[in-house]
Amino acid sequence: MAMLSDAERAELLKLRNSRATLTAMGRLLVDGRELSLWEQDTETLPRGARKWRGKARRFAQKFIRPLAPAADLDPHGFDPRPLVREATRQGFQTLILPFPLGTASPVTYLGSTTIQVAVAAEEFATECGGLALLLMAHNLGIAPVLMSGHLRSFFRHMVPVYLKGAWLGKPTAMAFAITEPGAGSDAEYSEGAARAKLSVTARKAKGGYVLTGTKVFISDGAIADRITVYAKLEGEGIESWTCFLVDKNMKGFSVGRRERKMGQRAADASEIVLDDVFVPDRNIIGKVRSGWANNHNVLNYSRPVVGAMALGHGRGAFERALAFCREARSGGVKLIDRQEVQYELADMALSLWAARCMVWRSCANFRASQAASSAAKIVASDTAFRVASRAMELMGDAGCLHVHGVERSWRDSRLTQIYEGTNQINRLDIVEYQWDADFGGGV
Amino acid sequence: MNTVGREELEHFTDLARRFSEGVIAPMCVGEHADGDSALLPGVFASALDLGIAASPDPEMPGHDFGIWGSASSESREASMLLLGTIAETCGGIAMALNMQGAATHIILSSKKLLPLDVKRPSICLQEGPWPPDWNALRGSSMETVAAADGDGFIINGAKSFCYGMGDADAWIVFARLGDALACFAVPAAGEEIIVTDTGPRTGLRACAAKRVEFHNTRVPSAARLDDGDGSARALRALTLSWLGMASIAAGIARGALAATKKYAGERYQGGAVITHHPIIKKLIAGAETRLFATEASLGSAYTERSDDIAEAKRALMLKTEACARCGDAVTDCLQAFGGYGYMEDFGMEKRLRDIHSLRCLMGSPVWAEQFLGDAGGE
Repeated sequence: MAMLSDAERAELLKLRNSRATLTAMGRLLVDGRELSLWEQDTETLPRGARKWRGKARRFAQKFIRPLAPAADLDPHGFDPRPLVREATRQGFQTLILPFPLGTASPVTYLGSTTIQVAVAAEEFATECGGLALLLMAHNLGIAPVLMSGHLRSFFRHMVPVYLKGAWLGKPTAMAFAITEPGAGSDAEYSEGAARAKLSVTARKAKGGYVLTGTKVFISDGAIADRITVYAKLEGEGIESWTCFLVDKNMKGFSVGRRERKMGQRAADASEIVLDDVFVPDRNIIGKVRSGWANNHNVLNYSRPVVGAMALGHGRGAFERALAFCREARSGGVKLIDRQEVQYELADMALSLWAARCMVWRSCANFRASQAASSAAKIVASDTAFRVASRAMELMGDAGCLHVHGVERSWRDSRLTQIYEGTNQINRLDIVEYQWDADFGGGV
Repeated sequence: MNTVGREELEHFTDLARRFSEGVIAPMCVGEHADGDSALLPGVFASALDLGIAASPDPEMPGHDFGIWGSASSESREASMLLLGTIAETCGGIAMALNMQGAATHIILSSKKLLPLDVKRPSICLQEGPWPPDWNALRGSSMETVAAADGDGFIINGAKSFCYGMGDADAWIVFARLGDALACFAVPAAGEEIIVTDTGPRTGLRACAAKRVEFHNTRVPSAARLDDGDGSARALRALTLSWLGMASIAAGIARGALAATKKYAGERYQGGAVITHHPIIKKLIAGAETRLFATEASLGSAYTERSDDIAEAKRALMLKTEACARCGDAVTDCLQAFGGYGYMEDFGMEKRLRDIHSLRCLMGSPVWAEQFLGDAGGE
C-alpha cells in the first residue's frame, strides 16, 4: 500500500470517510448528510415555519440584497414602496395572523404565534437590517390591535387592511408610537413608567378625543398610513394610557424631523407631531385606560422578533466575512485555510447558533412570556453585535469598507441593543415579571 | 538630545486643545456626522503650521516636537498626548496625523537629505487585508519588489490601506530587495504610480486610505531610507503607529465619557436626572474604570526601549488592549444615551465607529495574536 501524505491521511480520518470502516449498523448511526447549518436548523422547525423560512430567504436574496447598499447610503433617496408592495403580495406583511385573515400557517400558529414572523425577520435582516425593520415595523403597528383582544377594533380596523393585503396584495403601512422626547426607556418598564414625564395627551371631546404632543424615533413614521399611538388622558398619569389609531390624513397630524442614524438607515425613524388631532371614539383600540398593559404585552410579542432580526444582522456579517475569507489572502495563504481564522469563524457560528436556540425557544408558546422574550432579545442582540464586531476584525482593514457589507451589519446590530427597551431595561423586565416566582423568594 | 519637561507637555496639551477647539470643532458643525471633509486640507495645513504635525524640514515648527517628530526618538509622551487630546474631538484627524507622523519619522530617522520636499508622506507597507506577517516583515514574503537598476531602483507591486492626510506628496514604500526588506521615499506624482481611494469606510473618515500601485517606478539611490535593514524601519513605523492608535483610543473614550457625563447630568427620565439611575452609574463607572486602566498602561510606553522587537510587541499589545477596553467604554457610554446615542447629532455613534475602525486597522486582534506568537519566538 502506498504511503499516504499527512493531508491524505487527515482526509481519510474525517468521520464522513472513516465511517466506512464501521459495521452496517454503525454506519447507520452516523449522520453523513451534507447539510448546511441553516438546513439543519430549518429541519427542527414546525412545518409552517419551515416553509416561511425558505420563502423569506429567497425573497431577501432576490429583493432585499440588491437594494441594501443604496438604501443604506442614501436612505431618503430611495423609494421603499415597490419592496413593501412585493412583500405584501408574497404574504409577509400579513404573517402576524393565520389564514384566512392572514397568511401564517394556522397549525404552526397555535403552537407558536411569533415563530413564522421571527424566521422571516432573521432572513430579511441577514441581507439588510434597515430594510428588514422597514418591513417588520408594520407588524408592530398592527400588534396593539391584536393584543387588545377587542374584537370590534379588530374587525373594524384590521380585517379590511388584512383582506386588502392578503388577497389583493395592496399594502396599508402601519407604525407603532410609544416613545416621547422625555420618555424613552422608562416607558418600557413599570417602575420607570410610574415616574415618566409623558407629554402626549388625549383630551375628551364630543365623539372622540383630541390628541396633542410629539412622539419620536417612530419606525416607519413617515411612510405609515396608520399609526397606533399611546396617549395619557388629560389630567391623569400613565395608568390612563390609551391606544388610538391615528390616520395620517387626520387634520393636525404631521411628520416632523427624520432622524439620521448610525445604522438600519433604510428604515425611517421620524418624529410624529400631533397638533390637536381629533380621533373618533371608534378609533380607540381596546378599552380606554388599557394602553399600558396593551403596550407591555405588544413588546413581549415583538422582542423575540427583534432578537431574530439581531440574529440576522450577526448572520449577515458572518456570511459576508466568510465569503471574504474564501477569497482574500494574507502572506500568500487564503484566510479560510488559516487555523486561527477557522477558529474565529467557528466561534461566530456557534454563538449565533446558541442565540437562535434562545430566540426560537422564546417563540415556542401561544402566549409570549415577558421573561423569555426579554432574555431572547438581550442574548441575541449582544451576540449579534459581538459577532459582527469580530467579523469586521477578522477582515482586518477591509472589514471597515462599505463595499463588503459587513460593517453595515455591525452598525445595524448596535440598534437592537437599544430599541424595544435597552438591554438594561429588559433585564429589569425579567426581574419584574419573575419577582414573585423567582427573584422575590420563589413559589 | 531633546528631552520633554512637564511644562512643555502641558504646553503641547494646551496646543492640541486649542487646535481641537479652534480648527477641528468648526469643521464638525453641520449636517454630517464626520464633519465637512472639504475643510480637511485646511485643518492639516494648520497642523503643520502650528507644529502639531511632524515635518522633515528643520525650519518647520513640527520638526522636533510634532507628532512623531525627531524628539520622539527619546520620548513618546508628547506625541501620545497630542494624539489623545486631538482624538477627544476627532479620531479620524488624529489617525491621519498619527500616520503622517510615523511616515515622517522614518524619513527623519534615516538622517538623509531627500531629493524632494515632503510634507504629507504616507506609509506603504500593507499588501492585503492584514499587515505583513512576521516573515514578510523580514523581507522573505513581501510581494512588492525592488530591483537595483543603475544608480537607483525599480519598484513593482501594490500596497493597500496606505493611511495619511490625503493628497500625499510622498510614499514611504517597503519592498523586498533580494532577501531583505528595503525602504524608499517615492514622490507621489508619476505616471507609473496609480492611486485609488479605498472607498467609503465605517469610521476614521478624516484619515485618507489609499491603494497604491507601482509599475516599474524608478527611484534614485538617495531615496533609499534604510541602511541595509528595512525591517527595523518597518517595525519602527508599526510601533509608532500602534502607540499612536492606543493613545487615540484613549482620547476617543475620554471624549465619549465627558459627553456622557454631561448628558447624564442634564437628561431627565423617570423623574430624575439619569446620572442618579443605578444602571447609568454602572455604565459610566465601567467606562471610567476601563479608561483609567488604559491610561495607566499607556504611561509604560512613553520611553523608548533599546530592543526593537520587544518594543513593537509592547506597542501592539497596548494597541490591542486599548482598543478593546476603550471600545467597550465607548459602547457603554453610547448606551447611556439610549436612542439618542444612535443618532448622528450627539457624536456618540461617530466615536463608536471610529474606535471600532481603530480596532480593525493595521493589525486586528486575530492578526495580532499570531504576530505576537511569531515575534515571541525570536
